[in-house]
Amino acid sequence: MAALYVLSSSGDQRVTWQRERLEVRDPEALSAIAEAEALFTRERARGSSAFKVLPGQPAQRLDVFDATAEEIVIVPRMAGGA
Amino acid sequence: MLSLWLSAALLLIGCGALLWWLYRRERVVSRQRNQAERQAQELLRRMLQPNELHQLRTHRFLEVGSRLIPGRVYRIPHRRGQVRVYEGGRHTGNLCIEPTRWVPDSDVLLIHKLLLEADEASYLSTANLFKASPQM
Repeated sequence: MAALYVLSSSGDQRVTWQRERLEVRDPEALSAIAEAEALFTRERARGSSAFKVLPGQPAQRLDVFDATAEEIVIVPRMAGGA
Repeated sequence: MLSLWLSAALLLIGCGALLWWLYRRERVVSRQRNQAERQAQELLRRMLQPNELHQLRTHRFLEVGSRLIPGRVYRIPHRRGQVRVYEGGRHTGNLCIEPTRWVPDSDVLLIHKLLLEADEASYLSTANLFKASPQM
């Protein structure tokens, strides 16, 4: 099960889909991935950063939505503190 | 005289209602934040490797090695706070950087880890660095 997580004050907002279902053009999976891509685009426009997470490997920054990613985490913009 | 008493009573009732509303609101916000923290902890457990989880539980921090500077290690605290920088095993400074929106502590830790692994240069250019005082 692939997932996109948007970290927020309520914990996280998540969208999940089955990647193998995408290959057979399953309407539910297509709808979920469209929702995930829309969330990705909206959050990136707000200045958030996105990362692809792979088990046992360092995270990778994502500038464009990757429908093949297993897990994507979107984090809020950061600022220097005191 | 009666109107004075009435005004005072109305003022007291108004203040009481305001205090009650603030108390209720605080309880709701507190409950929501606790729930958010539980969800964030679940996500963190999912994102960390067993050795990383072990380090976090044992030492209350998570170490991430620098990909830009050989021998440098970042120590991310269990709860929000400054990230400690170690070079060659010696504490050389603290980095202060935080999300512009409130997120639970476990999410803050995850954000530091993801940024340090995938976008260290940008992380360092945004964070404020406080150099550790030299040890005598």
